[in-house]
Amino acid sequence: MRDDEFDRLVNDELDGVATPAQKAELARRLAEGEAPRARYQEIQTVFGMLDRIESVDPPPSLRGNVLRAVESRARTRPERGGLRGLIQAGFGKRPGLGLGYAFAVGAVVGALALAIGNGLFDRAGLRGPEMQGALLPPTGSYVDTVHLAAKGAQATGEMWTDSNGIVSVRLEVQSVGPFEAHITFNPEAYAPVSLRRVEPSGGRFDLRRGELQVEDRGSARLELRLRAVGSSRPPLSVWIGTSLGSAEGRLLPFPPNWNQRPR
Amino acid sequence: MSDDEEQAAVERCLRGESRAFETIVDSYQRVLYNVALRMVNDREDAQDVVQSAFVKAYEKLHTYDRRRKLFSWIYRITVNECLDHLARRKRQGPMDEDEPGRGPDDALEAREVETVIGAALLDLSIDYRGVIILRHFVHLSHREMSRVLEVPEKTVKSRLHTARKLLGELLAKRGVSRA
Repeated sequence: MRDDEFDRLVNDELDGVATPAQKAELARRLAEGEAPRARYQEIQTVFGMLDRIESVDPPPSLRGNVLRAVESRARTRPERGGLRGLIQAGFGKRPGLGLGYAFAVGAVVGALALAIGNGLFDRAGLRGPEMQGALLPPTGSYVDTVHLAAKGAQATGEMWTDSNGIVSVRLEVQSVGPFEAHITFNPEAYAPVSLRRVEPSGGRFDLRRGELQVEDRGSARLELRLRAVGSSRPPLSVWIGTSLGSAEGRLLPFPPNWNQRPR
Repeated sequence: MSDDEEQAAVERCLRGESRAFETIVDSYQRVLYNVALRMVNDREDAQDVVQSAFVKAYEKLHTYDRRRKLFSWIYRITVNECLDHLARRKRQGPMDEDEPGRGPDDALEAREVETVIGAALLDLSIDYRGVIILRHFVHLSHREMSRVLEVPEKTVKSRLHTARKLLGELLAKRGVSRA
């Protein structure tokens, strides 16, 4: 007798979760003949083999390697997630304060926009005001596209440039949950001019020397405009990440398919 | 580490105290190393996978939803790292060949059992491999597995049942019918 129900009874018994009624039923089935007893033994063998495998100590170097890597990241990106982390920490696990959290995020974004509008950013930062609304059709010449696919999110970045040395990066992200997107550029070669976002969803953006960081959920569209400083046009990198995975790509100012926008 | 201690460590990390991550590493490195080891069946690869998973967890800690168990979240990251690692390894070609068949009366030493089970586990899908690992190597209860995997206990039991059945068949194919 090898039916599925019998196997489930044996599994529950060997797992230690069988109820008294299941135990009685199993005993009755086992008394029926040799076949159920043989099947019981087969399943027990699998359990026995699995239980003979012992837990293994992790290599001593694992802990040190992780902590060194974490230290290094904390040093190079000390503010990463800090502001949002502080806000979240303030509201912790209290769902009732979700509205407060949303308000706080909005206030932070508003404060940032005000700071930008008042020219509080230096040359390496954003000098023009953040704008919201529909993206205007791109001007100038199409340069390059990058498509990224991470677990739980995908993004497309497009680069355009004009004769005045303005390089526009248009980024569109679609995610099933929270995501982060970064556009990284050489601050010696590009100076931020403006950032335009479409359909603001209360997410957070952070433009600093050489990098724009966006934290949001769902979909997001934005355009970052940079002014090329000097004749050098190094590639820009675009990164997206979710809690499940990440993907990275580059936008090349002079790619092989220069000036031919893919259809 | 209690849930409260865990949340406190997360908050300290988010405030920039990277040292607080030590307590998280100390709590989970053994479990995650064993998970990764049984997932990828190679000690050095398992170390790489777990290191990478911890670093990703640290970097993405601000996206962690605190209504979930921290272990669930880090376990998920580790499993995804394992999957990425296995996909890369597959592209590079198979690492180990199947174990040769054995007679039913061969007595298997612990080391051999580990080798045979390790190879058979690789033939299970990631969901089935996951439940076997959490139940038999990490020794979680059905309820704990339900919380980690974020599926009902009933699903846990059903997956376990199927996973063991498939594993038994794989072992039988390898000539192991009794230990």
